[in-house]
Amino acid sequence: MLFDTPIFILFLCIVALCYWQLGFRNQNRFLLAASYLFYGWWDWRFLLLMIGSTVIDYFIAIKISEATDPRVRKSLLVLSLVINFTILGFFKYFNFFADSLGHVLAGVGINASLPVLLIILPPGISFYTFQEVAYIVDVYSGKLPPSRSFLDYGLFISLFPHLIAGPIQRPAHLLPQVQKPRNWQSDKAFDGLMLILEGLFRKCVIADNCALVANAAFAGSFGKPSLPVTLLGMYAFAWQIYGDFSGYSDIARGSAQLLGFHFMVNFRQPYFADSIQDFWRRWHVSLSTWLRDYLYIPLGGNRKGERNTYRNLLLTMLLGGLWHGANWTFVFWGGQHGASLAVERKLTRDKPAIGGALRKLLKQIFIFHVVCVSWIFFRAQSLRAAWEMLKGLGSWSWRPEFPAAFLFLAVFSVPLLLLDIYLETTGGEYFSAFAPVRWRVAFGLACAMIIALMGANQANAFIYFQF
Amino acid sequence: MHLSTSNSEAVDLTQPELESVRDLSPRTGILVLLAGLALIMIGFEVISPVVLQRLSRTERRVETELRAAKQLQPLTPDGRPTVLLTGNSLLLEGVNLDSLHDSLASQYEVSRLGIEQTHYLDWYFGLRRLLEEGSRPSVIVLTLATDQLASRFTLGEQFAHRQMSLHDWPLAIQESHLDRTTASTYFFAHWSNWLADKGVIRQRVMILLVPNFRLLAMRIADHGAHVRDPKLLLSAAEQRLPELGELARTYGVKIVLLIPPTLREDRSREIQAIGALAGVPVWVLSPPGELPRSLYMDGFHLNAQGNEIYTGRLADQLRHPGW
Repeated sequence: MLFDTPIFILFLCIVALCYWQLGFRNQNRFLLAASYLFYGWWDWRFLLLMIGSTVIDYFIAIKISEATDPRVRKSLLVLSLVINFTILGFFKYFNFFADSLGHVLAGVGINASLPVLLIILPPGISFYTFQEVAYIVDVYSGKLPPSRSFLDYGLFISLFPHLIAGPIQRPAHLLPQVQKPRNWQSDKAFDGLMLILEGLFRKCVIADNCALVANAAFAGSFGKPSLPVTLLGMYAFAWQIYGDFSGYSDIARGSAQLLGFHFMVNFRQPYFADSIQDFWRRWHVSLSTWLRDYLYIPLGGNRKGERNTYRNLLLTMLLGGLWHGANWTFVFWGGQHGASLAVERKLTRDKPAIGGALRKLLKQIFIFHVVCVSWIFFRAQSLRAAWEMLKGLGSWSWRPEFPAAFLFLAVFSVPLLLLDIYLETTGGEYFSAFAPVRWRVAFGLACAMIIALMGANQANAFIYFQF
Repeated sequence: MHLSTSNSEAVDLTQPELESVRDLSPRTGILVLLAGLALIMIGFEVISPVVLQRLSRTERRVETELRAAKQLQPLTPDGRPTVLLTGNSLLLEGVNLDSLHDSLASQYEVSRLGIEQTHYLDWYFGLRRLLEEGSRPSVIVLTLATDQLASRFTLGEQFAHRQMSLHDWPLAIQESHLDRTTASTYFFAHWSNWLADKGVIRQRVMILLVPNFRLLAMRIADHGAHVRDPKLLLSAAEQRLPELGELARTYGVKIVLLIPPTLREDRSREIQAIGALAGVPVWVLSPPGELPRSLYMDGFHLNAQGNEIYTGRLADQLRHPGW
């Protein structure tokens, strides 16, 4: 079920209404069943895979906590990591690595016909795998006692608002919420509804409309890449992916809040970042902090000298890129961010930040464009296509529909920019978050009207669903 | 001064209380918000067909043509067979209805049902619904390019609302290879005016907001993936033309596939042969590449001059259909 479809709205209404009629344990049972229905809606076979993976980690975590021998504990940890990453690797990366290996072998004159399997990627596998890994690592390191209830652990992994595309929930944050009774709080539920409406606005109005221009530019419908085509594609995709993913996160957080859960904030106005490091503190926060805590720091972080710090940054971002998808474009995208972080660190290390509003603004504009260029690699079908698009910046062509395309893009990106300016200056989680309730109701209804009138008709799956 | 100060202090102290008294509680806020959302939904549901009829000439035309098509019987009161031309913009731009109507007036009563951006599945299920609802033209001429005959594309929610009957929903989903989520949206769209109409209303809003939006729309519209592989074209024809033949036999009407002129090879001759075996006449009134590019508006749709030539050929074909 996609969050922006009538079936999900109906599902959420039924789940929320029934859920609050039940007692605590039954609430968890009911939510687990609803979450499995939500997930199995795509394909019940994927549901079996997720349940299998949940069962394995549930028992391994208990065994880790019971074991006293450090070697046994470590072996169990490694076993869990191997199982989790093997499942993820098989479903997500098998064909990618087989294909890449085939190319490498062909390059050295060996014609090996490696098998290509028809594998369908289970939705959300990258997200729930990371959540399971975080749980096992936290239990291993003693930060968290293992859950003794499969019901609770199963719900922690599969709670439907975060199941498909996050935010990736930290065990220490979500598991205690699952384990304790939750009480109806009207103010939180109201905020949840407002987050859902703002999320739908971001997705249906901003992202889906910007997607029309981005898709046309990257598919060649505006002709060969040239300066206007590349700019259209680049800017349109930048706003599309931001509206899409932040909209998804808002709907996820709002839905969770309706059920009495709190999810971490996943986006903090990322296009106002004044450095790449700042960008990653604002963009997909649940992933960037996961990568920091479970990859960058275990690799040594910045504790083992400058050279190793740069290596760790690059490695973390390369793997972060690969996490997004089985394509060299994502690896390159991650590498570009890793390299930018390393260069930025080298250039700004031990130098005091120079203030000034104008300087900050210029830095923000510069960083926005660095990020935009990286989106070309993220969006393109191949490195060659990305390079062609990038080369377009150096050539010129003009078509009569370009002014309309730029205006169309402005109509749908400027509102999100203004919304972000508001959120950045007020610190609110959604527009009008600090206003009186009656004003927020009015805003919510206006938002619904705009979604109804301007939401793109085309059903676009959320971009991060494929990850 | 003192009074003023004390007054001011009093106001400062009571302001938040007054504000909270005037404001809604979150619980009431939820109720008002949900009630408002329900009202908006109902409002759009009721108003959208009316608004659309006022805003869009195309929608007015389609509704008028659809109403007329539903009333068709094999013969007019004066005994002339009825012909219903169906199809997409290739029909709308390629055949001059008035001219065809006039030239065949003594022999046939010709009417049209044209819906832009429609493909085979729109029409297969659309014709099923039309015939189920009692329409009985003597001849149905379905105008589709060969890649549209092979396409899995439908007009989405508009198709589900206007052309798909509810009992065809599972089959339509299966034929167009839709996932469960989209399938459920089609189910809701079958009942909902708003889901069906919102795309057209949004388009009207965009036309108001963005100058030259129509130019842009041609570039960004999703026309579905074009089927170019000859094997796929022919295998689709082998499956779909017998379906049309079966439909024609079930309702006792004659269905003809009219393949409009194209600039490039479209396998229409092979499809014509498949049609002959399936009992569905396939009319190719202009072989691929016969009409020069100068007779097309955009490489696909005929211009006025091309339309005149092609309408003449269609009139001749209808005068001497050969069945």
